[in-house]
Amino acid sequence: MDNILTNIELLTTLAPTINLELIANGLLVGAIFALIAYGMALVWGVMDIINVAQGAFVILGGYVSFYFVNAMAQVAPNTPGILWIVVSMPIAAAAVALFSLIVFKLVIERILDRDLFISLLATFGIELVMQQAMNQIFTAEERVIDAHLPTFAFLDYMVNIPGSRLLGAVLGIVAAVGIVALVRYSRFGRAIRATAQNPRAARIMGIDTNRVYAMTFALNGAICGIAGSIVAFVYVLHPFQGLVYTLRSFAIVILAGIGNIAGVIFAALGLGVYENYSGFVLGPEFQDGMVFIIVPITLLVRAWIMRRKRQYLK
Amino acid sequence: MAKTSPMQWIAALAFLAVAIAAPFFMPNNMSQLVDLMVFILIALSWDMLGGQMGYNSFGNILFFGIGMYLVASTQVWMGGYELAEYNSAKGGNLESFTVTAPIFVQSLIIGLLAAAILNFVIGLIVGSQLLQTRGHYFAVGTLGLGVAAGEFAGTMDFLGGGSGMNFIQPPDGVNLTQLLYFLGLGVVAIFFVFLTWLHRTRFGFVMNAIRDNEDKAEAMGLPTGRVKTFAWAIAAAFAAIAGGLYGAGKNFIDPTEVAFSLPTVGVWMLLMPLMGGKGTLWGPILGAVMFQLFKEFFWTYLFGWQRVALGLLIVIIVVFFPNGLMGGLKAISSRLSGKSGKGEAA
Repeated sequence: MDNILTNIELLTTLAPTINLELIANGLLVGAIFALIAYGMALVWGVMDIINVAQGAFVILGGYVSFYFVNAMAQVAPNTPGILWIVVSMPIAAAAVALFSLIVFKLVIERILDRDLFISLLATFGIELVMQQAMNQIFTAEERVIDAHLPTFAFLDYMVNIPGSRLLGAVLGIVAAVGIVALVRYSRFGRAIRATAQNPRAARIMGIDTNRVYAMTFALNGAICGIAGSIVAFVYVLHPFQGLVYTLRSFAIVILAGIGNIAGVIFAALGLGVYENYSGFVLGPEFQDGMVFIIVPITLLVRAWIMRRKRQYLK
Repeated sequence: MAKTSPMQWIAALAFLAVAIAAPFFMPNNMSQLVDLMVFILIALSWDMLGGQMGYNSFGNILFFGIGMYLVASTQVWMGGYELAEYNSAKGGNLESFTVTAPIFVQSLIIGLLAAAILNFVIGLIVGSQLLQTRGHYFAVGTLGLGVAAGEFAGTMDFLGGGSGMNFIQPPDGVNLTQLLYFLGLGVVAIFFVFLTWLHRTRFGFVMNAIRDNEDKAEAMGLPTGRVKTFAWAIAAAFAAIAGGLYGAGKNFIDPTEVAFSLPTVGVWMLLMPLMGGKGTLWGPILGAVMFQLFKEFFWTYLFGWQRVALGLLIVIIVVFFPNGLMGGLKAISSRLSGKSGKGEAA
């Protein structure tokens, strides 16, 4: 209890510049969360499936990127590491997209018209298979790509921002802009949006909705792959970390509402800041717990607001 | 649920007879039998909401874990020791904390009762809030709650922190697994009779009405909110007892790997009713038996890959056999009766 009070005192009176550092770092990681949550919202909105395996896809992308960068560092030791990190992003995206497509063909396609419990439990099963298989194949050791980037210090070393976070946020934003543009302006994106609005009407207009579902799921895989390759050098990779990303995305999507891109971005940035603050004030061992607990809390707040309108969260 | 047929009585008595005889025929598999009783309990308790009421909780592991910690703590308290002192001695001289046989047995039973009562209250409080959400939202909200509980339990130093807590060692003269097995069997029998009765009461019918169409049930003036909350509280009490028995059998609590372990027990408790047949009285029991056989098989023959196999089992069951064994039996029997005549409609 005492150290919590000291931490609060530190933030409010002793060293208020720490606030700047927490907010800046939070916003930077929030950009990555936004990317992952956007993928989840896409699948949720189009196919009415909550992909519990979302986090496992992210981690898988991270491992692809990790092994690619390591291999390249041995093949060509004199090239800068950042180059290979950037090159690894599309590779991870393609790998996870392909994997998603296989998962779609084997499992998701068969449960599209079943009730929500079935799809939740099935994707949860996929999450378990993936995390355990990754644990067997890649071992439980924590992996991280060292980007060899300096930490930028501002205001007399009071505000420190790791270069890797900065790079991660920039790459994440570039990828997000590309994906949002794809969904908004391409023919394929129009088919996705039409299917999300009304699958039956879309079928009548000649859209192969089953193909749209498959491509949407693959697109989500690509998003997760990109996010994973960013996570690999900003955070650490561990086979069991997936569920944290799933629950983060879920919290963001319920906060924002499905189909609300601006909302997803704001909620993700807010979550990043919230996480950094709770980690700082309560101590790092509380950070994961505080992420998990935000899910029921946001639900309760939203349920409470809706109850006043005599509606329910369904 | 229809009138209990003589067949069901015979089945129940036969099951009970086999269960009582089992420890004498399989003395080397006692810990697996204890697990089986725990699994039947949590499968039945999960099915109260998931199967009968249509609220698929992914977070009943919350009560399971709290119950486990509570039973362990009660045993330490009733042994006359300080909890913090006991847990800080971990890794060193834990053997010096001993209790006599009568106190050990009493504290176990009182601990289980206390866990049931406390989790009933927690179920009421949490349920009254969280049960206002439905569908996906309820499922993932409870999931968040369950895993968060494990993380927070790991930060509490007086409960042993992230490295967990040991149960007090059973003194000489106490056959722990046999004690746990028969306690578990007793609770299973009570719970089964209780559920059989409950599903014939108005309360049980309201639960089924909520599953079929909650809006209509509410429009008919049924007390849906109260029924939902009390049903979850009852399920919570039995899940807590199951947790206490499981922890005592394992003799060790790890906050995220044993007590609040969503990837293992937390999802098994959903899988078992699904394997046997959701929303039936016998489905969860048969599912638990089948699941335990699968699990032991995987653990024995698939070294290292058993958890992968278990995950695949989940996916396969969910995708291909969502109606479970009871659903399959029902389909067969209706096909048979459909062929044999028309008088069987009742």
